[in-house]
Amino acid sequence: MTKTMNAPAIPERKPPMKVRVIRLIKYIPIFILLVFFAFLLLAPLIWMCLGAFKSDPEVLSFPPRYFPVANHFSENWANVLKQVNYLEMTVNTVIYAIGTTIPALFINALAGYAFARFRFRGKNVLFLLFLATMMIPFQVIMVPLYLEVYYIGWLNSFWGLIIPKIASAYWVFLCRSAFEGLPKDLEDAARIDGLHEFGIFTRIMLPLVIPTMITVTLLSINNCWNDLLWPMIMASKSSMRTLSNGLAIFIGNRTDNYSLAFTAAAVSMLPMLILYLFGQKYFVAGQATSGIKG
Amino acid sequence: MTAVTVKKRKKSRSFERRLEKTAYAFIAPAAILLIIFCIVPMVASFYISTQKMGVDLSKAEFVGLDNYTKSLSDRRFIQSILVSLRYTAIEVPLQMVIGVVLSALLAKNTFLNKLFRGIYFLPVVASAVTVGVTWQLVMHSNIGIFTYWLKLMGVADPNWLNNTSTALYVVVFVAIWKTFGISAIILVSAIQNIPDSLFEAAAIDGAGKVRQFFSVTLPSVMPSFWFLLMTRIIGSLQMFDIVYTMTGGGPSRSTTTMVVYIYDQAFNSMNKTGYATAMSEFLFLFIMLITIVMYTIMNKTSD
Repeated sequence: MTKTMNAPAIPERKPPMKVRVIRLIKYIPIFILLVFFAFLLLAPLIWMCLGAFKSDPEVLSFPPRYFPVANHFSENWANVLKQVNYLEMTVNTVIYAIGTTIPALFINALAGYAFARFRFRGKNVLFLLFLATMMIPFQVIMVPLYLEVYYIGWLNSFWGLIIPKIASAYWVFLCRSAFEGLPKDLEDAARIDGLHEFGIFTRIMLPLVIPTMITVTLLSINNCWNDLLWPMIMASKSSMRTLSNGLAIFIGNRTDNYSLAFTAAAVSMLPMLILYLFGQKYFVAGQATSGIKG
Repeated sequence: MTAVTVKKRKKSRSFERRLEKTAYAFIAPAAILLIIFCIVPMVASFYISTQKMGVDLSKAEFVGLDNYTKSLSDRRFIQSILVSLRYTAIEVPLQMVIGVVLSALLAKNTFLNKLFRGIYFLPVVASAVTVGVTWQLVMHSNIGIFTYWLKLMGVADPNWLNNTSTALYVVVFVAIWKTFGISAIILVSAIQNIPDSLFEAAAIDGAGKVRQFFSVTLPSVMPSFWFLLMTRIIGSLQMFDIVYTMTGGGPSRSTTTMVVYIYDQAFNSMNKTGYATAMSEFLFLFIMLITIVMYTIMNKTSD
């Protein structure tokens, strides 16, 4: 642990033992504070996951029992499936997340690339237009957007769910700053070789910004997966419900149905947890570069 | 300008024109979608806010600014504004203090710090529904583990989520719980972008760790700090999902924020689409005001 207190980067002589001990002692209160926060964060989540394995009497026992005596998960899960169409909601959510993310990647990267690499008339005006859309909160346009989708005839359809969510100035700016960092010689060389502009984009430039593409993919999937407001407005038909929307309706105010609440909440967390474990670096990068969302 | 360069210019002009067309083509899909699904609704909202209507535009009736004046005398709307303001006034300062302190403690890339950052960021990826249901259970009067622990510490259970004087505080706590990881990460990356030479210079001048924090770290992260503050305030004013999944706006409207009320009026009431839109313009006004004020402050401080 003494290692953690070394100064950054600069190669430094190892400080004498006494100094290291003092540093360690000074670190103890900080460490306790950090552990306390970590505990506050993890305790509810762990307790909820454990709850998914308990039977109803166990959940109700007082004083509370921390660990399940026997594994009741399959019963609880069967109970969830009986009351909630979990599979259908999962499929809907996957369609919403993937259906939005794939075109979003392509369209927003394309626009970001154009802003980063081309000079053209009206660039500033267009740039301001994109910037302006970032300032418009979804909550302010949700009613007109609903009416618009209603008049197009897309209510309760994946078209209505997905298409308004594809373009995002946030992704455009993320892609733009990634493309800006690439050397100019690359495209000149490709042009001399006779590659057309779209080919330069897909074959030369896009592969060079893969980390940013992964960031956009993960954040976009996460956004759709957790999106509550738009699916609630759009998908009133029960067969169109996504996980967020469906669980909010079915469990929202019925947490007294304990096994349902514990199990559904625990299971609903899993996919994003796995996504986070594998892509933590990218999630953090996406938030750190701009931190607009939240 | 020599003749050669002029010739080159002419030749490259057609090439540049071609590039220009390509640029427009590349931007077009995103621009068209944003215009249709963001700019048009924004512009339309001003029109809709002057109508008395449900979803049927042909039955809409022009009422001028009636929706606006009506909303200002709507006690429930005023109450929702006050709830939103109170929520923001509690959430944002706490969130910023926690963010600043944790980022200062976690800025170095050691194994433990990375681990803590990883943990703190975890609820950010969880959905509001998961978080809402989890916390309803955690604070539950009969089975909640936190309720039980608080009792052990001598804090009597006021029925946290069903008590008008505590529900909003629980919601604030959960909102911070879910998002302080973002604040910490943004400030950590701001601190990591400070050149080491600044710290070295301060150390040579005899500044200790605490002094370095106040004279080097804080001034250097100010732009990120103001930016974060702005996004936090705006985000708090737009609060919807955690409230909706945890309390549904209750008990007796004590957690009904502006967006929860607007949503309720727009989608759970008949013929109030125009009215709800007028109320959302107030939200827009608030957010614009904050953006302008914060940008002014940011420009002043960066000079």
